[in-house]
Amino acid sequence: MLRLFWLLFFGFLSEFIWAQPQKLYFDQAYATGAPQSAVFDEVNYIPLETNRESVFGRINQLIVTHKYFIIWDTDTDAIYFFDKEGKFLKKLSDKRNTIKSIQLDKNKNALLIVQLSKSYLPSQKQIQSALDNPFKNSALKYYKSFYYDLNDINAAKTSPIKNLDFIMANPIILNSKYWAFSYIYANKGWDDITDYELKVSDGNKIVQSFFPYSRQKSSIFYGSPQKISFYNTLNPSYLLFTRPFNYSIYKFSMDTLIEAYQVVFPMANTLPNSFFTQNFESRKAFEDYKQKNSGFVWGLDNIVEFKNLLFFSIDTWRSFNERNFILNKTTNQFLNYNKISADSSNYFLPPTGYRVQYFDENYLYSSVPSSSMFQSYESSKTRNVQYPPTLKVFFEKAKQTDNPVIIQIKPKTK
Amino acid sequence: MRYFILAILFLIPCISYSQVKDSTKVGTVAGIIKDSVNGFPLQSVTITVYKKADSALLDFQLSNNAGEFSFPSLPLATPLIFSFSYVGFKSNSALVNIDTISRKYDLKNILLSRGHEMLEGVVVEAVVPIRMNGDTLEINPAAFKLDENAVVEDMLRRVPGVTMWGDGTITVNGKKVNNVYVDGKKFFSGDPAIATQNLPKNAIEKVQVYQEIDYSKDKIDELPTDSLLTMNIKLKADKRKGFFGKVGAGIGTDNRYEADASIQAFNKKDRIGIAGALNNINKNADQESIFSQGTFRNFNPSNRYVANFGGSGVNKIRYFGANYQHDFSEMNNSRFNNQFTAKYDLKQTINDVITNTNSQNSASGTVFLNESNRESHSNTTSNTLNAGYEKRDRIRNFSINANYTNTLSESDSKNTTSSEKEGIGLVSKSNDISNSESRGNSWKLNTRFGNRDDDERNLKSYNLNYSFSYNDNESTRNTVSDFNSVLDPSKSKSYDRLYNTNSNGLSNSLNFSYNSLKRLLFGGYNLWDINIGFINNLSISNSKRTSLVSDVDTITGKYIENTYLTNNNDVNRVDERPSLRFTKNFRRNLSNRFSRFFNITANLQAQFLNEKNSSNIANRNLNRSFQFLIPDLNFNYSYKKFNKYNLEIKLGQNSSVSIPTVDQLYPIIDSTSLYSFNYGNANLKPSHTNTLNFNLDYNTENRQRKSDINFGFNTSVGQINDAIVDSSNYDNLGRRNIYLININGQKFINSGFNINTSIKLKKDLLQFGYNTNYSTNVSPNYIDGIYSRSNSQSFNNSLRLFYSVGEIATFQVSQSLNISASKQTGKNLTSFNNRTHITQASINLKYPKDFTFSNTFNYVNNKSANQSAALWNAFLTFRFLKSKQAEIKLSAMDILRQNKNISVSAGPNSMTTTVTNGLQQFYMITLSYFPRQFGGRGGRGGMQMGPPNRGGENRNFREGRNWDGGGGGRMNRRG
Repeated sequence: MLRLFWLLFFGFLSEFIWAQPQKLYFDQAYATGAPQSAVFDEVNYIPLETNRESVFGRINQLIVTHKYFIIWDTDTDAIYFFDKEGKFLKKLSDKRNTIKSIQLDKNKNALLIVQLSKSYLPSQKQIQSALDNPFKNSALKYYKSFYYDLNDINAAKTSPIKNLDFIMANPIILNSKYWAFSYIYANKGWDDITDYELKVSDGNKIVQSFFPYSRQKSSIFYGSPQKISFYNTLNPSYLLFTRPFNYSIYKFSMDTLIEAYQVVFPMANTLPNSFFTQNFESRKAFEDYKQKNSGFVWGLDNIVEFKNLLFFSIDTWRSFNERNFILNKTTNQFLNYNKISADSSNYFLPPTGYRVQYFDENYLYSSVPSSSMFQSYESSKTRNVQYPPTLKVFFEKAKQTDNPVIIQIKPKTK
Repeated sequence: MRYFILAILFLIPCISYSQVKDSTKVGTVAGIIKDSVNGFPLQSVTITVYKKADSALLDFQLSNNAGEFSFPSLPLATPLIFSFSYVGFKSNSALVNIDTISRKYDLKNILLSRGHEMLEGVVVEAVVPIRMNGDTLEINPAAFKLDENAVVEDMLRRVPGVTMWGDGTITVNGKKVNNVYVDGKKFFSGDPAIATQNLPKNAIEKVQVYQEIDYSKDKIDELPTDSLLTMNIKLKADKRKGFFGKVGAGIGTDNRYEADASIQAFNKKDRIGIAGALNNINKNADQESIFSQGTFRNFNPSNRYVANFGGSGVNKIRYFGANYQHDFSEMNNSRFNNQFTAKYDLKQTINDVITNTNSQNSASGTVFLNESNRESHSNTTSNTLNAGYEKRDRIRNFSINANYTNTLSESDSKNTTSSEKEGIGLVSKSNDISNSESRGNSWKLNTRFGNRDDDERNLKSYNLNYSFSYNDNESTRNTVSDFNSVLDPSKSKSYDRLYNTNSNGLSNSLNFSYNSLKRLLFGGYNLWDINIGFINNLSISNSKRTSLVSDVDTITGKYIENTYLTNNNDVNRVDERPSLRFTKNFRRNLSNRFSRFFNITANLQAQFLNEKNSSNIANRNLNRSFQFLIPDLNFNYSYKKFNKYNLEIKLGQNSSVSIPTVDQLYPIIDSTSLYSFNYGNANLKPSHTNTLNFNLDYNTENRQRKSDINFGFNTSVGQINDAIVDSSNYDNLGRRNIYLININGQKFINSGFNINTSIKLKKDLLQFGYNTNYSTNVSPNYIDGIYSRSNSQSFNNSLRLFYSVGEIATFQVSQSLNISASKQTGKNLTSFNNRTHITQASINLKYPKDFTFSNTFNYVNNKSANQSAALWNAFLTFRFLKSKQAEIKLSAMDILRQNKNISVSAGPNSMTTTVTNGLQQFYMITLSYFPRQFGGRGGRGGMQMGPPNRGGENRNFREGRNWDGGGGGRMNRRG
């Protein structure tokens, strides 16, 4: 009963918080590039030490603490620790488990690692039923999750996490007590139960849920499982998140849920109302619709709110150079992140990497493969560039096949 | 060999002709393009350079990441117009005249301002030749000022980055184009040449080049590595239907004639092709050859559909064929399809051939030399009708195919043979006359169905194939033969025998495969990542044969049944093969560096075979059952080094069993087979073959390099246990008596190696290839009681060179060396060997305009038979009429009048050389017309509603469902 009351209360709250979202009218054609010196104050390159143990594929996820660069690479299925100068410290990998997610828990100063056992392949139905029954420990045999203490990484101190079934949905740490998670999937053959896109749990029970949908009837979720994606901000008291098939950016904390921004696309690229009301027959019909209407934007991703800049990516079937953008909230100008070009003040090296992978109060972080660094180095040979000492050493000693290089960017925020 | 060197000498003047550019006659122009609002450089802006005087297009490029552009070789002291255009911005232009002293011009900063183009009020008619629309390269034919009869190929040859190779491959920036579509769909047979060599440039709205990526994977975070490069030719709205073809007839000396006709017509949903041919010059007609020789413009004619001097005898051919294709959906690409096809072929071949064969057969202490001369005439007519339907989509694929063939043939021949024993002389001779008639029908049906489960566990995914065939045949043959024994006249005999044979056969086969057995049996348990599948092959067949044989009675002159040879036979066979397949994959990727994949597949397969044979001949009634275990194991390794090369290695082992046929166990010996009798062996066992296969393929994949190299090596080594071989005895008349035995120790090795490289030199292209094949077959057998291991070997090498000089000429030469040998280890048994050298060359010259002069040259030198022949053919073609739709062709065939067909083959203990008559020198004049029309009288104008034409893959961000793919009125100004 009490649970129902809280549910209703928060449900109302989300309706009544009167916040007009800031509308961002986005026109692709005018989001051009720019020379990096017009957009960034500083661009620093930090090569990562490459040896037999530390060689990895690409930075799938980057976490920067004041002591370490923590890198999760899916190619080698391992986590690497480098110091801030790029020196290799430690590699974490487990032969019997595949890493599913990593997250920094600032309160505990530990890394939360969620892994899936290689001996099992749970089906969507099994995952859903495990998420429905937080009291059953059926997830335990598939997942292995623990905290890895960052105070002394060499001590390899781990504390396992037990009894958290929703760990399968890669939950996000809200604060020391609460978790938020999202796993959205519907199937014509399941029972008609109401599920919620966003749920908050205290480890034992669900305390808040938002955005209801039907497990059987919401045919827009017949494709692969969707989720709400959470993004940290510079303010530790709230997070941002985006929903599938939705162009709003929400601000979220334990007490508030506000629609902060709404991106408006041209009509031809916006999901029409009919998408939400028509009933797809099956997963195949849904996939066919996606194929036939490849001009639509399916959602937003990779949100970074950095002072007066808002970085975002659009999920759409386009060239990879046309997906990541920056909005300057002061001038209201959009820039294409991948078209920011090199110039002399960054030694004509790639200035940006594919997208922003991490940020803190001062810098944005991205990465670029060594082969791209060398490619720029070769084509700038005629320009007679004076590289700083770390890069000079890098181009002399390193190889094209070395580890990716971290790019540390300080954008202009005026 | 000397011909090869002569051919190379031709090359030298061609190479020097092409290196003509003088660097002091050209100048450089460079600049940077910027956004006028904020001064930021703009990348991928299209810059086009025209000559002001006549608007001739000189060059074009796209600006780089820093907005820079640079043209290194433009003419000096000539007024040039530079035009700048970019999506979302107003175009700009500049007038430049490079002075002869500095030879440089710096356009400095060119500013483009934002906005849309107005359709009116533009002074300079700047039509953009190429532009990047997102990740699609778009080529606009209106910007290319070509001959009004130019076809798509003529335009593609002028686009920088697009290369048309000698073998028909197209690459864009080094990457091979996998598919060429017209309006999002396959065009007729899918051969790019049918589209690029027939469709006129003026009927094309634009050509798009893009990667066909499988977007069904959600949230792709990094750049894709594997995708199919596709070229799509979009027709103008009013040109979406049309037809094209070629109709021609020729007459020559020596009563030679030829006539070919082809028409291909298309509209949005249908494609239809009709072809016909009549000739008496051995031109083997079929639909594909007639359509590809009938294309409107061909830079590199292959000269393959011409009189075939290598053909056996002289053939008169009459042919008619048609095909039809209907597409039920708008969208067709490599993953989705919904299509109906039908094909019909009617062919009649009348063949007259004279053959002279000489063979040497090794026997104990001697060699038998047999010579035979054969003259034969045959007339064959066949009708084939084929219809098929295929539907492929995301979760299901279904196809059904039906085929009916009817054949009628009659032939007669005369043959005389003589057999000599080396050192002794003639021992026997024979002659026979035979004529026969046969008719047959065959029906085939093939269906395939595959289901892919909606659920990611794939429990309901499976594949099912069923095929059915039925055939029947009726034939009559009459043979009159005479055998004369010189040494022992009592052994001479004569026959006049009549055969009436009826046979029919029925076969069914069903194949089922299911790949999710692991999920089904073990649920979520991953089983160390080993995948288990189940496959089952079942085939049930029946064949009947009735032979009625009768001999002429010497007294009455009537045919009386030969009860020994007359027989009927009925075979029922059931072959069931279940198997369990275990697969495991190992993968290691390091993004941007390499990607490694290794797969092990083990098949545990069993075979249950039952064969029941019933016949009127008592000992040929058999019922046999067998069970075999035939496992196989395969390894597959692939390594891709990013932007460098790809390597693939395969190693596999497989086993199979074959059971002796009833004719090997209890053969019926026909005495009209005068020189060889096979007695079989009732105690034969099944033979087991074990093969080991190895393949290695390597190719470079580097977009920056100007050259490409690929090579491959393959070898297959096998051993047959209990092989069924001959144990033969030669009698003193040169006749061979064969007994069959099982023997161990039969081995074979087949290996091949090939290497190819292509190098682009400015406007020219050089391609080298070398390939070699080696095979050896060791077969133990008995000859005249002597145990011998016969080894037949063959070794073929060939070196090939292809060179094209700009647009003017193509040149090809190849040299081959073929060696074959037959060795015996047994005492007193002779070994044989043979060497043949073959040189081939061809030159195509497209100069002056509208003339094409081609020469093909073949020289064969068979060193051991001491026979050689040279074949030189020349063709001169001239196109006339304003629309270039008429053509006159002069052909001079076998100019040196030396053509001979010689072939050599080596058996376990013999070497045979065959010389066949063929065509001889003739000259011909052929007149052809190319009927063609694109678009109707009143096309459908206006905006097209509905999904965009390019098969649903909508690339432009602004294009929604209701926009025509041309981006509205912004960029496309029809020139």
